[in-house]
Amino acid sequence: MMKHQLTKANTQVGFTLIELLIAISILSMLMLTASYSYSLIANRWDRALSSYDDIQIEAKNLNLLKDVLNGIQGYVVTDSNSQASLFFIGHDDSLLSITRSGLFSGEYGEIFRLSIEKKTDETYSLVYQATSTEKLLLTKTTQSIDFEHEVILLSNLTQVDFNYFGWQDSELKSGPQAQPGAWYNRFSGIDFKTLPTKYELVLGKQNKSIRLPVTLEQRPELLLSPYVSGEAE
Amino acid sequence: MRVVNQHKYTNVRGFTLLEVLVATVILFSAIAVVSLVYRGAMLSSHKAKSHMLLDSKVPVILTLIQEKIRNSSSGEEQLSGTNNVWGVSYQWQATVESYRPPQPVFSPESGTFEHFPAKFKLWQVNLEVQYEQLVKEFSYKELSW
Repeated sequence: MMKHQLTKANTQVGFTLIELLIAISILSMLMLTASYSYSLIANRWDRALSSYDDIQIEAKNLNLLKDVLNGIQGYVVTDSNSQASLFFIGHDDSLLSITRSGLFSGEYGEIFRLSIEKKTDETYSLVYQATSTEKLLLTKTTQSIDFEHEVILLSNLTQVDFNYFGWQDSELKSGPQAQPGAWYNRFSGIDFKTLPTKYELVLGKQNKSIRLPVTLEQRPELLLSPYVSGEAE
Repeated sequence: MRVVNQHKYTNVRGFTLLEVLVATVILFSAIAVVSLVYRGAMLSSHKAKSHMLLDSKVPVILTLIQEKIRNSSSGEEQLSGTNNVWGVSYQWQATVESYRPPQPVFSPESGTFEHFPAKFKLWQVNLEVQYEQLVKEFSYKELSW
């Protein structure tokens, strides 16, 4: 009887310490593998989705930029000698003008400046600064402009180049000393008293480039004709 | 003693083959479903990406083609070209569909209609845009003068 009880007690033993340790280590290894593979998959998923978002933003901004560039209008301001001139200051890496399809102003014209910002890794960002003409009436070139909005349109660019086609002087376009138009990398509507008839923006990204051509008014000198005749009288 | 032995044996009995099979099938089907969902999401995300990349370049490509067509000389009947914008390659052909003058204008001095030489060209443009394996074709009309 005594012996029987003893064996019964023996069958009821739980796990030994060794068994428990082995079970725990196997289980924790399993969980480690599972969580590692889960984080791997989640990471790839996130990256795939975020690269889609990046591409979508880039696509949107590229087309907005195209609209802004196409919407440039002849806008007459008076310069420091109170002569009428056109508000368009283009350099090879920046452009300051007025567009009718700005990003922030809705139906109002928008004074905008496109410029580049150099990053530490030798790439450029294209920065768009703007303010609406709803609140700011621009009449003189001496006026200071405070830009209300600033956004980075495109980043990781390796090349940003503006080129302008036109005539430095309206008299060179037609008249006795007519010359064919030429490409410039600097074009000031304030100094030249005219606008380029077309211009382009070249954006490079990892050896691949994109050219955004824009055609403007073919006879921009007509914009200033009311002011010129007024002075002659 | 015999009773004890029997008791001990039933206590350490493992799984039957059937149980193991059922467990394996359930486990593998769960893994298969998860990997299918994951693969599907990856594939559609990749597809969406290439469509977005391609479609965003189309407006730019259209203006580039428009510029080429409008700058062509007046004698030209056929134009074509290939190019690459930010990794999206395209090729296009344009043929003149019709070459028309402006509407005649009645001139009161002479009392006759004044006719003009042909000036406006309507082009039929076929455009093929490619990004990686994705190819899209566009067909539209363009006007030049």
